[in-house]
Amino acid sequence: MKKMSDLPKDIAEEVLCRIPVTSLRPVRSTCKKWNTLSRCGVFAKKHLAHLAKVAEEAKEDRLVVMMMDYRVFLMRFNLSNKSCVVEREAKLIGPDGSDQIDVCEIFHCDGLLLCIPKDHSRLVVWNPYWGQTRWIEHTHDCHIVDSYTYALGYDSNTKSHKVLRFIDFLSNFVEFKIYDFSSDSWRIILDLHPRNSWMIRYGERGLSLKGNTYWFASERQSTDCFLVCFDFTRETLGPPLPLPFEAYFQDTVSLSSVREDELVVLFQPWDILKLEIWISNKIDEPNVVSWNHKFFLSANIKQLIHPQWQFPASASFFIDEEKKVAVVFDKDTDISNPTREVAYIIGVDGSLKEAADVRECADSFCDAFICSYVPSLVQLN
Amino acid sequence: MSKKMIVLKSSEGVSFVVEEAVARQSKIISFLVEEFPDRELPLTNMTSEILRKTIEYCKKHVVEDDGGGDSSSSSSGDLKEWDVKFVAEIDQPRLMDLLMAANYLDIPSLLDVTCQKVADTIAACNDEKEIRATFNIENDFTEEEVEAIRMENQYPI
Repeated sequence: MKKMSDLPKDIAEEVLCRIPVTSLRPVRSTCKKWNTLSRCGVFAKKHLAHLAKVAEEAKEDRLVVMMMDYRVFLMRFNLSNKSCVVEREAKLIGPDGSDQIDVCEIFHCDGLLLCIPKDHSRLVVWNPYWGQTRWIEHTHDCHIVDSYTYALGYDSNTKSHKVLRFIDFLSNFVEFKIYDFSSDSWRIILDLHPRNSWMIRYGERGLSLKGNTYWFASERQSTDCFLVCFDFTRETLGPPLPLPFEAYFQDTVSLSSVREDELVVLFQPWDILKLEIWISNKIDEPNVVSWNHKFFLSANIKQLIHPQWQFPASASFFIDEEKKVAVVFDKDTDISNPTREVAYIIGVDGSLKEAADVRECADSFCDAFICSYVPSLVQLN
Repeated sequence: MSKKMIVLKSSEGVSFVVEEAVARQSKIISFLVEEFPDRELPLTNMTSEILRKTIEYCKKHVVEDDGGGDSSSSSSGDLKEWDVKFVAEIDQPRLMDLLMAANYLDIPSLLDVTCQKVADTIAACNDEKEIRATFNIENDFTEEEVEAIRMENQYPI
């Protein structure tokens, strides 16, 4: 009788390319043969292609990476059931295996996760597929380290990844710096000084798409609001890009994406209990954005909430076009003492489907962050 | 019209008379039938038990394939369900033999369901120790090597 260890390499490959990403670690720890096989580039390519095909055929729910209470989780929201079920797939542990890193922000680009530790001492970029991490030391020019805004992207020509770190909301200090993976060093981008007539406010979260990052931005002198894009290839901030609605800087405007193709924007005016979500046309170039003529959904959210209620700036959300829903994250409605992370499921017909409890939150000041996540084979070392 | 039959012989020398259409789901048999018509085909590395199982699978699939004309989605759904039950009833060592048979005879759909079943069994294990025990795999790592993999920042379960 055949034993598993007798299987020829190509058959072992056929079997192992069918395992979920969360089983990679035990598979690699089983025996040397499997460890070597599962780290081979050809196998990994086949593995991801197979997983993508299965997910497509089975209309699987999307994988998202979520930061809650300073921990990072891989999750799947099962939206097909009547009640939304949150399935935790995995948790990030520290590179020392200690599970002790407090992460306060995460950003996704191209299968890589940029994690900002709570103490801001260093940055860590992580590819969970390979189990690789890369620690990035800061070179501090200023002590306001916890006020930086971050973004992860890549040069479309060289495919080399980069981290952007900046401050531009202070009156006396503006700095844009880039960390380049290929040179392993930080450098200042001088071209972005003197400052623009507009700014990206503190707390706005960027969204990376095709290696470039988009933010909600507003004029310093007027109430005009728009999107801006940092082009990681040219290392410049592009011109203002249109939004499909007229926004004011106090409104909630936050970004998400569909596949790696289209931007999605959530809009809640600060003074009306209404929520809209719009999808862009396919994004080909960083400096051109146009929008579908009709919104994806528009909902009256009076029934949801407290009269004073507004989603936080850069509220985390994602949409599922197939299942015709948006999932928006927030703390529960007890504003004075929020104790739970809540996911609001809003249908395209404007119905509130369910407010699914995601998790108890120990720290009421730590807002959950969600990034959609697609595994990739980018090497960090 | 009578259906054309062919004879497959297992490693123990047991002959199985099978409709040609059933056996032709194996690309290898398909080829051999063309090359050597009217000959008994010896499958020297397949036991009677595994050959019987393989034929059972092929029979089910050939019926479904030409039974309904353009087969509806419900019948392909039923077939999937049947496949799941089929591999669920086979124990671990025999599943390996069946997988090898599917590979040897080149029956892509059978290879797919058997590989998937093995992968699901691996995924259902809690850790590497359970995988090794389930599949009778020898641990050829040193303590340090296992520890090094454990320290990697992967998706833990």
